[in-house]
Amino acid sequence: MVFSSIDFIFRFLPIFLIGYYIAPKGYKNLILLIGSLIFYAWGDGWYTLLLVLSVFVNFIFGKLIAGHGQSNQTRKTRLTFLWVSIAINFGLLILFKYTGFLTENLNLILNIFGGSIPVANMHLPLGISYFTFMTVSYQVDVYRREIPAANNIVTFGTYVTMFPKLISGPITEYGELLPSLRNKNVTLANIEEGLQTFIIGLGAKALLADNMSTLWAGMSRYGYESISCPYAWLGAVGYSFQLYFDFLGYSLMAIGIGTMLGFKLPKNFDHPYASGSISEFWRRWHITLGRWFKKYIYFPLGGSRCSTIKIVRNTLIVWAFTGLWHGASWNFVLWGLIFFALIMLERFFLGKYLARTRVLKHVYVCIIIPLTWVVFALRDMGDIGMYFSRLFPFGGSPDFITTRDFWNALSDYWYLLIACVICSLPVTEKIYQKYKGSIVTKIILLGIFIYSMVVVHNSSNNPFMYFRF
Amino acid sequence: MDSIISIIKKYTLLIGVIIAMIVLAIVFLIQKGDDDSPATKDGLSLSTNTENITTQPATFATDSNGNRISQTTTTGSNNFSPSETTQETVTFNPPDNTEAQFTTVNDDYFYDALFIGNSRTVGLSMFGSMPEETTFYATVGMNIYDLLTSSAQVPPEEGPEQSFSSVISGNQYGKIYIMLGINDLGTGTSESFAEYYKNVIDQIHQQQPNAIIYIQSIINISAERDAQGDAISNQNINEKNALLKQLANNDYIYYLDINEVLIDSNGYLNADYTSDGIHLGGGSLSLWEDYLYSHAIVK
Repeated sequence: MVFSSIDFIFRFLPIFLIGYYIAPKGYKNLILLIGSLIFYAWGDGWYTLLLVLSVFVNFIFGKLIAGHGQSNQTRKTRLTFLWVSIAINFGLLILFKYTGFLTENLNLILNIFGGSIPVANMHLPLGISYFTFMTVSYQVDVYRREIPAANNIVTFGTYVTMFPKLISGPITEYGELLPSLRNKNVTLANIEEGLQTFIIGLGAKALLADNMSTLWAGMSRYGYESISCPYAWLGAVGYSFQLYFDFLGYSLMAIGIGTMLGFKLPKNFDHPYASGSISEFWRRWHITLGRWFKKYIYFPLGGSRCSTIKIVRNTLIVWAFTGLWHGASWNFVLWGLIFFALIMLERFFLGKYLARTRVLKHVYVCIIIPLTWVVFALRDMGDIGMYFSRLFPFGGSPDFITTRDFWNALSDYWYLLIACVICSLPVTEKIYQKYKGSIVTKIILLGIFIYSMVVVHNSSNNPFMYFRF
Repeated sequence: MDSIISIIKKYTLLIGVIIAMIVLAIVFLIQKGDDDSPATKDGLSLSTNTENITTQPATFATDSNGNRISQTTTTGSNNFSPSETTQETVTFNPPDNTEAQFTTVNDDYFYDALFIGNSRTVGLSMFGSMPEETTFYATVGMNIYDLLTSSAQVPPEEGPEQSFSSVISGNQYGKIYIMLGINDLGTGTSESFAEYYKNVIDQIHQQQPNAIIYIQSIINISAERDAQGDAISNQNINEKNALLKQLANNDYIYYLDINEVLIDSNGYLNADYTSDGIHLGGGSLSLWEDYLYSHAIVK
């Protein structure tokens, strides 16, 4: 059930909110836990049991890892428990998400020797990539004594399953939700503010991303062999906006619902397309994911406070995993490695030159990022090759290609592209923040809400792109 | 009084959204009540979401002029009785023994040709090298049932929107090439499809008595696409093509088996010619075009 659907906004959310608001303070977490499990079951049926199992197992391991004394012996035991719990969490993730990919590739090797094993295609449980990262972060933080182990299964269960962030983030840490889990302030002012954030997210998803998505969908119809160079660039730019507003919209809706429930969820995007380098882009795009990789993989490996060769190794590991996290397919690995190469290039060479420019660094980001999204979007290596040969037609292109496709698409999408550019700029948010409380802003938002609902009602819902995780 | 205004000012959005939701819910419910004929023709438009393709039997009634008009009825399940649609037997043309005599022609043959079709024909118009003078009436998602009452951009994807009736009555064409059917695979039976196809040809012939009407075979799909196992299957396409072939009278209706030059030995659309298994890529359209150039009727 996506947040921008009629089912969610007209059925689930109002019923849930009424229950949540009338419940006494001490029972709100329980209502949220039950509501979240219903939400998950609505989307993924019996796989809810897997989620419940994960909650129980992690709750118990949290307590084991917390241990009691401080002697060396218990420290060792605690570490063992930590590794076992990490193995269980990632084991489930690998089992459900990567079995097909692993067996396929194993078969490629086995084929050389004439053998093969059956390819197991597992169902990917909703949001498993997200909640696995949240439970692992909990275990590590408990081990590091940054947070106490949860004493109450309801509190812990609420942290893991909380529906606003359950299936597509933001990836939260137990510590940052703990104050609200213990004692939350649900006020009308919170609801008003949360609603405001939710509607902005809804508009980004329903009015920008969904409308933009038809441009990219249309690119592949006659094959990437048939697209002209400018059309290929237009498609890459359109897809970049589609992906951004899809995911931004989802995150904002999650944060907005969180606010309405009395939770403060972390920000996930900070105008990434206005970055001045690729490294900066990743500090501003899907912030909670980057934060996770930094805290739990990059820093433990030594981060940047070690020899050059180790920095390169650490960065490589982070980006290989970041690629794989996005999907079990080689194009995601390639996509991750491209970022590894770009970030290393910036760190050791390009960075100092970029920093001196004012405009050029933005041009650089605006050209590179859409290209990386093409690799992200196309699973087939042949398609990626074909698409890039159209983006850079140095080898010439066939006669049947004309730039007509570009002009046709531009005449259909120019207004949407302009809207997307405006909404990507930091200055737009500055203006919004300034007039946030005014009645005019609220009336505009109300209009966006009504218009979005009409649009959503009239079209079938395309699920969020990140929902395949 | 002041306190009420200040509350409204403070919670404008909350109050507004609650009122809007109540109003929208009522409007949506009323619309739902009115909407007893859900659209089911969206076979190939953007996503080939097979769940959207519901099987729907189509029955026909006859209006006062003797023309068949479409009356689509919807059933909630896929279980429908074929007899419902086949009782009214299709009167196909008497079998004729004369083979069509095709010749090879030049560009000028197509100057007064009209192409009618769906996204596949849109591809031919956009990426193909048919003469500039050729008219294309094609749009994504076009199907046989909607054609007569449809409108489309002429030329496809770039020109102004024109209704089919204005296109067909506005000009006299020498040749009319039709390729429709890939969007009709989930609708009705093959018999009801062929029957309605015949009806469409009759209507076009009335308006364009001097035009040669070419029925182009529905192009088969690739093995990979066929393996998805939905209504979009070669078996379904072959069945419909076999019936379309019978519509030819070799007098003014001719059947062109385009698949001859596009399929592999197993009857699948050759994977080299397509990316999505359904549409021909820009580089493969010349096969289709060459076939048309070498399979023309000259009277």
